[in-house]
Amino acid sequence: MKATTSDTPANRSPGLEPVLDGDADTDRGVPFIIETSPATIEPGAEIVMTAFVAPEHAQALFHATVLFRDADGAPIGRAPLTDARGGALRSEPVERVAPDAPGSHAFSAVMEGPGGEVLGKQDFCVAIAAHPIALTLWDVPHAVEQGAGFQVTLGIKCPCGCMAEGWAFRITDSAGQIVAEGQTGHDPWPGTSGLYHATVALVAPDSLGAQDWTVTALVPDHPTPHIQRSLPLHLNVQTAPEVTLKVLAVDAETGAPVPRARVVVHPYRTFTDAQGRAEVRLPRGRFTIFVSGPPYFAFKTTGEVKDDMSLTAEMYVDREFTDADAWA
Amino acid sequence: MTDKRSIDDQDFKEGSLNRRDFFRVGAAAGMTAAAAAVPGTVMAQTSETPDGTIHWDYEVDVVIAGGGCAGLTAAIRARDAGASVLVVDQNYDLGGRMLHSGSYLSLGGGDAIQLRDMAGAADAEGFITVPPAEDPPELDDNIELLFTDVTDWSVVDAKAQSPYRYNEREMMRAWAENCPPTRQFLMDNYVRFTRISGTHGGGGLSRARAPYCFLMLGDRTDIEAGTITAEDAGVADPERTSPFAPVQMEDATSFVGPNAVRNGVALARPLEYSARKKGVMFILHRSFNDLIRERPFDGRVLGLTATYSPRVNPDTGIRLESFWQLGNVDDRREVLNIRARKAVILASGGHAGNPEVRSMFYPALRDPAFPTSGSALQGSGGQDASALKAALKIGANMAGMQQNLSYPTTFHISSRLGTRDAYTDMMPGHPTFVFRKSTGVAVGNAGFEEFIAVNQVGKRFFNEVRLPKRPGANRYPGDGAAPGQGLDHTPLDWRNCSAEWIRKSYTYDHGLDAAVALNEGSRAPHYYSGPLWAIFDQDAIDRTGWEIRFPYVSEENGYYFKSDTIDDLARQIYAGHPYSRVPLGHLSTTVTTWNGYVAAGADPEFEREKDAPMYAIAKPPFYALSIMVIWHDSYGGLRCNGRQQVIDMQGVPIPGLYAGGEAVGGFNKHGLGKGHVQGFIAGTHAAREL
Ligand SMILES: Cc1cc2nc3c(=O)[nH]c(=O)nc-3n(C[C@H](O)[C@H](O)[C@H](O)COP(=O)(O)OP(=O)(O)OC[C@H]3O[C@@H](n4cnc5c(N)ncnc54)[C@H](O)[C@@H]3O)c2cc1C
Repeated sequence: MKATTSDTPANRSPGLEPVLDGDADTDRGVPFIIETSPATIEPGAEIVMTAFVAPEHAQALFHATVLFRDADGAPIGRAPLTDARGGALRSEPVERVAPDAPGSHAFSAVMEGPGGEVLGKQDFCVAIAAHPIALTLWDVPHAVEQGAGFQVTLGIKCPCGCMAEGWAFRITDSAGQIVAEGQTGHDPWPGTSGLYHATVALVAPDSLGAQDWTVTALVPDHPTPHIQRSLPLHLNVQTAPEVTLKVLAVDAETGAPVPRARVVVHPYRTFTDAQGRAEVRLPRGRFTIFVSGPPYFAFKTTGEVKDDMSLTAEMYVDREFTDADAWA
Repeated sequence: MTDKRSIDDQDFKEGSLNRRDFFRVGAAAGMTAAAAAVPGTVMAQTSETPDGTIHWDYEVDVVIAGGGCAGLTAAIRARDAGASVLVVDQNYDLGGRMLHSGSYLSLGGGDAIQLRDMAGAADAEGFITVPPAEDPPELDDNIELLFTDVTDWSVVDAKAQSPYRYNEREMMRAWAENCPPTRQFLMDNYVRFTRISGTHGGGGLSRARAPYCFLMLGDRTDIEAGTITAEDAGVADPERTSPFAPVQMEDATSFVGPNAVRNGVALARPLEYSARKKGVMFILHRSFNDLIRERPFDGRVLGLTATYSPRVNPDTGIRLESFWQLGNVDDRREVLNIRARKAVILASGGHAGNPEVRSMFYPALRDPAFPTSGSALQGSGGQDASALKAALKIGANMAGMQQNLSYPTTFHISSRLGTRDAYTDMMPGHPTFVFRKSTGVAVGNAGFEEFIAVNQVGKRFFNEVRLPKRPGANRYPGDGAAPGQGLDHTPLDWRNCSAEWIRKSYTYDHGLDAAVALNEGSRAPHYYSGPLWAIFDQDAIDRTGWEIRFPYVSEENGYYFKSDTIDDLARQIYAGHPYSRVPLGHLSTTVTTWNGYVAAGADPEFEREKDAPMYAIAKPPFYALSIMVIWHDSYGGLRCNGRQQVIDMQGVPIPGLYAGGEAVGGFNKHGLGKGHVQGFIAGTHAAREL
């Protein structure tokens, strides 16, 4: 649980406010209200609770402390009523981690006097939104050739711990037409604990240039409500490459080849081999060429590629500072 | 010497400490039990003693607050002159930031090492087998030239700041005159210097003035013989340091010859050894808080009060102990009053680790999320402005406060990620590693093209590849901004700062300023900008080969996170980083937007495509490493005269009070060169007080 570090602007969220049962009536004691923020509380996200006492009742609660309890009645935080502005009284905000389960949770708050005596009680609702879905998309080719097949991998996870095995997704093109549908597989992606994935085969459109398709993780058939999530799938549709750019990456000082340097000729990219050489197939056109990789600063050049061509990238070691500067 | 933990007792006796000069009074008695009849009790008026008396727990000629660069030098110097000396240090061991340093020690004015290298000679012990790194004309120096250099009004750096213009003239004259004797003094106390190579920041533009300090690798660690074992030097295992050396020593072959190693260990340990051997006494684990003066703003400084400040291993609860013990006084009472018969010397460093004090220069850097360099080694009591606070309370003046803003590395963004202590690369093995728990991943400046940098709410704020850039320091051979470089530099020439030239030479990028700017998570009253994060994916690791494992990162310290999804990463950072105050609510959108920029080949927000290629952050798992803004050191501080006496608001020296090192302002010189000479001067004059 995070400690409160400074005051948080509390949005009064009307849907979450308790209904006061009358003025200083029966056993509820002195009336007060609880403000919660933000307006929509994500499962497991931060929730900020503040007690508010109207000017006419402030006198009775001047040295009081508010104790918050969760839906099980367990105490979850206590705050003094310290902020007295405009005659009203306000407690210090209490920041806590919200419950994971979507729906309405009946929390409560008790006003206690300096000796622990109960001065007032109040129930309030904390409404937790449906579970979000985390969606991730990788291995998207930087350039796709018009009409050619390509693959992408996508991963789906419920951050609240629901198993996303077999959850459905859909991919639509820029006109909104469905181009693929499928489900995640049975095992999480290596190195992750709950990211269920699928590799999808797609076919590039004929129209050239940048276009955004959409990948959507659909609401799963699951007892806990979830919220659908979409991500753009950026496509860079190019004509078939016509020319070859040969790059030789060398250390500017020693002349030694630089292996595994990255060659980026947007949107094409590759690495140099053990001899510092790389080849990129390109359509004709104007490009910016970067060759980079530790411990070197990026080499950059811009120009028109009309035919097959070769380029030597002289790379300078990342030593902007001398030893003396490093220890300065 | 066989046991490296205790200096030979024989040496100690020969060091002839007169124990009567250093006596302890009042055993366990507290201040209130003091009476005028108790020996060592003097009449004084301070706010702490309403009855007008002070009970002194210790009495000695010279008391020094801080056993680092200035403090150890002053201690040995005063002890050499026959004074009894007690050093009070808040840390568990001596050396301060000097022990952590690179030992690049810029003096000059025709000092012994300049003369040696000019003559092409080796050192007296014959360790140096390589020829000089600088030609004789570059070493041909004198005091007038050094004084001119360090007061040169005309030099303006690549950040359009003037590093020498505002220096205190009397203090600079004394500094220049005392550089040659200080170099000799250090050599006489077992410090060995490499070949000179260039000059350190703030040390002048005209000549080469800075060597490093070295030791030779050998079978045993023997300061007098000049040798150190590979284990003690931290070079036996690439992933270990030693209790002797908090930072692994660097190879010094090119400046000395084979088997030589260099850094602050070769400076701090010899001085400490010499001080202990000569009979300087030490109270460690003790923070000085206040000076005791005869009257609040008048009269002599009589001594100081110091509070027990043990440094305890948080995992074991065991108190850390210094590497050597000789001369240590183990006194664990809460508060001690220590009387200085001759003088108090303030050598407890600057204020870089005190966010409240440093924020007087840059309010955005009040955020305690950002530490000073070497904070694990020093603890929270290091660089905490204690000298400044105590001296201001008794009427001292300040000098050169604005100079904090005119040194290029005063604050900067480190290219070491994933550790709070991002200026240094301490490995496990040193007792203070436990305070940082990770060494950090050194990605270099070029590494900043591999990730996006986001602020506390998860938003990008600048072109990443420009964040770690720093303008060069103004020093020989002149890679700061003077138009004439090296020997071609003309001091005091107006052309050095003509408007046309400055327009051409200005290179400051302001990335740091964007990093600490207000953002959506900045809340009243401090409006902290909050922590900064490098966000990247598995592809970045495959591209670079970064080793994301212990000891480079730790899963325990909150400066490294790994997650299945970006959403999870944002949650983990918020829950697990000690200075996360608000959720990283924008991170997911920032990454989606960024991936769109990568696909389009253009970053309309920060134009990163102009400097470096861009990579999507897409392939799980995802990673976050902390990016640190580091406030490295202090240039503003107490005002002193040429004797290093602290000056009050009327321009009058405060009797019995001296200061040196980063506690002192008005000298925009980085580090050791300032501290040693000022310690040398302060020790000389303090011992001469009646
Ligand atoms: C990693 C690193 C590398 C560096 N490299 C170089 C370099 O190569 N060249 C260079 O010139 N400079 C370098 N510096 C800077 C240089 O080390 C410092 O500027 C110099 O040590 C400052 O000297 P000082 O005596 O003022 O402080 P320090 O050497 O830091 O000594 C201050 C001492 O005072 C103690 N202290 C602090 N507060 C109190 C208190 N309240 N009571 C008692 N004791 C207290 C501390 O524990 C410490 O031991 C480097 C610094 C660092 C951190």
